[in-house]
Amino acid sequence: MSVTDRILVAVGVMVLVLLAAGAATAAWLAYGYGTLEVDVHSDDPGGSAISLRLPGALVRIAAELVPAGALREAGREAAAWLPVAGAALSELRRCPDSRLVDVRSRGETVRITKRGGTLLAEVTSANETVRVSIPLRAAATAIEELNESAGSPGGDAKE
Amino acid sequence: MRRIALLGMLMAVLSGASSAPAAASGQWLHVAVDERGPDGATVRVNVPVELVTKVLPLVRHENLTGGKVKVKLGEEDMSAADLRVIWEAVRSSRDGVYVTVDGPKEKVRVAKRGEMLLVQAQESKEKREDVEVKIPLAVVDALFSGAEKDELNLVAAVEALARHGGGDLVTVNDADSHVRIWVDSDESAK
Repeated sequence: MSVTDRILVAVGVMVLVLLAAGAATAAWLAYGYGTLEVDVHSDDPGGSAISLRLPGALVRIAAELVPAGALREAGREAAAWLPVAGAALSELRRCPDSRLVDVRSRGETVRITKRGGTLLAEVTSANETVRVSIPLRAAATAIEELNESAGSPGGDAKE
Repeated sequence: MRRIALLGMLMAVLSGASSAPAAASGQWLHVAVDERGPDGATVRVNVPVELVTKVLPLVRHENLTGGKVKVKLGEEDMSAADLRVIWEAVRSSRDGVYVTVDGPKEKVRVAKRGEMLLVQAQESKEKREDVEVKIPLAVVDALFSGAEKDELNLVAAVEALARHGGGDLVTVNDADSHVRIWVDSDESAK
């Protein structure tokens, strides 16, 4: 095997290792933080259909990218309710799967369900269906980030 | 209006679930509303009691702080302290009917039976509304267990509720709807 071949093999192995590591990291993040899902489907004339899938890990990444000032302001505005939301999320993660809210009226249903590590909200009307799936761990991370920002006096690192 | 205020307060008490983790564990608070008629809506809410007990002490809103609420009722400003005095008198008395209101529009009956406080209200025949509230005495005791005389201890009340176990707490029947609030160990309303 020539030197060139050896270099090519080494580069190929490195690329494979990097791809495998990237895939493993993505799988770990997807498993750990879940996937934020939003589906909107409208039957109205000209109505839209939106389907969004975002890794829950993006919450932490986004928190790093958002200017500290904006995050701190949001945290302060929500400060009174952050501990409440944090405690509720913590308990929701522990409680068994269940349908928490089920409202059915003429032509419309609203359901909020805890399934696995996810809070699922579904609103169905005659012409529209909205489905939002929020990974509880990602939501808890968002609360933590806001809490830290609200409490940090400076927070200039990201500014 | 007073009945609505009473129900509201009761809901606050009930949804303020207990902070005794061992006691509260596995208990669920259920609310079911069924409107009558072909277009009637149905509402089901199922909340783990433990969730409410953890959350309630953290809520700070108007008169509610640390799982305790400062109250004044009605135009005469009846305070929790007044209620506490009335309750102590009722608590130490034997079983019986303590309040009977027999008006042209409304009939109200408050009774103590065994370990339960029973409130029954019936509105006029036109409205056909029956309200029945059953509260374990221990829950009312806990409600008045706050250090301050003008406050009601919601967290302690729900702790007591969770310890007491399952059972119907509130039922409301009228021409338009049926409402039921109860506690049990099932996560779904049955």
